[in-house]
Amino acid sequence: MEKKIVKIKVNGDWHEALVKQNMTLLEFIREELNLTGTKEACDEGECGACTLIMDGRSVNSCLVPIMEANGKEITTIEGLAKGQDLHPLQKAFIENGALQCGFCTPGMIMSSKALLDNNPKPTEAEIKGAIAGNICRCTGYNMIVEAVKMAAEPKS
Amino acid sequence: MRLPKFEHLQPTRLDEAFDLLERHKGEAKLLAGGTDIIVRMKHRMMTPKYLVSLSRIPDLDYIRSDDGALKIGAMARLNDIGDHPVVNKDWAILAQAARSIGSVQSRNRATMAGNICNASPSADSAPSLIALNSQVVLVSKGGERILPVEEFFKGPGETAIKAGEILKEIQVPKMNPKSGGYYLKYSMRGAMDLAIVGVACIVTPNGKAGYCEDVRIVLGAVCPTPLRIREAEEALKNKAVDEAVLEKAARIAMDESCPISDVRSSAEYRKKMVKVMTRRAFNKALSLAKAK
Repeated sequence: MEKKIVKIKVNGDWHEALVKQNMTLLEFIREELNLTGTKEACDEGECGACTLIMDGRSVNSCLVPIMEANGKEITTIEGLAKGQDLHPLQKAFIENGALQCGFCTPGMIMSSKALLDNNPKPTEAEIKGAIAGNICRCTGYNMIVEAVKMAAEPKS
Repeated sequence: MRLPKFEHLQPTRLDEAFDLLERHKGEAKLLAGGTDIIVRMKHRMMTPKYLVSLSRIPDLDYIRSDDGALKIGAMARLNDIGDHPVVNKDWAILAQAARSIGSVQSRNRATMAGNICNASPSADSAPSLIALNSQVVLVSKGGERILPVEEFFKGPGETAIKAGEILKEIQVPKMNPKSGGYYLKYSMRGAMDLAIVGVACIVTPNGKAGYCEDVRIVLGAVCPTPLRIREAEEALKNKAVDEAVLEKAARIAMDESCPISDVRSSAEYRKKMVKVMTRRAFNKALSLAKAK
C-alpha cells in the first residue's frame, strides 16, 4: 500500500501531506495536524464525538477515509474562536453550563454549528434532531438544547 | 480502531470504474458514503484489498423528476433526499424513510443506493421503495438492466447485483396524487437505532367512504429480505375497511413475517408488533390520503 498525497483545507489553511490510504479523516486531524479538539470515542459512527464540518455539512470524521476528504474544506472546533473571542455557540455552552466532562462538547458544538449555519432559527425539535447523533454520557442534554437556543437568539 | 490496509481507487469515469472492478475481481468493493462498509472494515468483517470510490465520478449525485418519475443517482445522499422539496411533496413516504435512517452526520454521507446494496433486512429505505414499485438501474461494461427493487434483495447482505455491475440509479414511478403513504419505523432510539419492525404502507382511497382501490404493505426487519404482503393488501382492497377487516389484514402480515430474535427484540415480540404496526401504518397512510 503506497502512501498518497492529500491536500485538505482545515480552518482556512491548506495542508498537504503524504498519508497512508487507510487513515481516516479523524486520524489525520488529530495525528497529522495535532488538532486534538476533535475527539475519538466509539470510532464507528455511533457517538458523534468526532463530528466536524466538511464542505458545509456535519460528518463523523471517523468514517471518512482520508482520500475521500482530498480537496475538501474542513472546519474543526479549533476553527470557531477568533483569537480570544469565542464563537456565540461556545459562549452559550459556557453560560448555560452545557457540559460536565466536556468530551462530547466539540462534537455537540460542531453539529449545532452545522444546524445554525443552515437554519438560523431552529425549533426545539430541530435542535434535538440535529444533535441526535451526539451522545453525552453525563446526560446533560437539556442545557445543551438551551445553549443552542441561546446561540440562535442571543440576548441583546 | 484502525482500518485494515487497502488501496483507495478513485476513478473519474464509470468506464474506468468497470475496468477497476474487472481487474480486481473478488478483491474490490464499491465505496459510496462509507457509513456501512468502513465500520465493517474496522471490525474486520470485510477486508477488501481495493475500494473503488464512486465519489469522483461526475453526474452520479442527483435527484431528478423531469418526466414524472423520480430518479435518484447512486451518490445522492440521504439528507438530500429527505430534505428535497419535490420528494417531500410527491414521494413524501420516501423522504420520510430517508430521514428515519441514522444521525444527521450519517445521512450527510450515506446514500440510498448504498442503503439497499448493503441489503440489511432492516434497511429503512427498502420497504418504501418496494411499496412505490421502484426499480434499480444496474450498469456494467456490457450495458444495463433494470430490476424491480422487490427482486433486488436475495437475503441478508445479498442482492441480485452481479460482479462488475454498479447500481447507477433508483427510479420511482409517479405516485397517485390521491394516495397517502407512511413508513412506520418502530425502534427504541428513533433514527439512531435499527428498526425492530418497519412497515411501509401506501393507501389509495377511491372516493367511496372507507373503500381503497389500492393498498400496498411492505415489512422490513422481520424477514431475511423486505417483504411485500400481497394477501394483506387484497384483504383491504375494494371493501369497507372497518376494525375487523383491518385486524384480519394485520394478522395476515403477522403470520407472513418470519423474524429472528436478536439484541433488539425476540422473534415473538417482533411478530406481535408486526400486527400492531401494520394497523397503525395503514391508519396513518389513510389519514394522510384523506388530508389531501
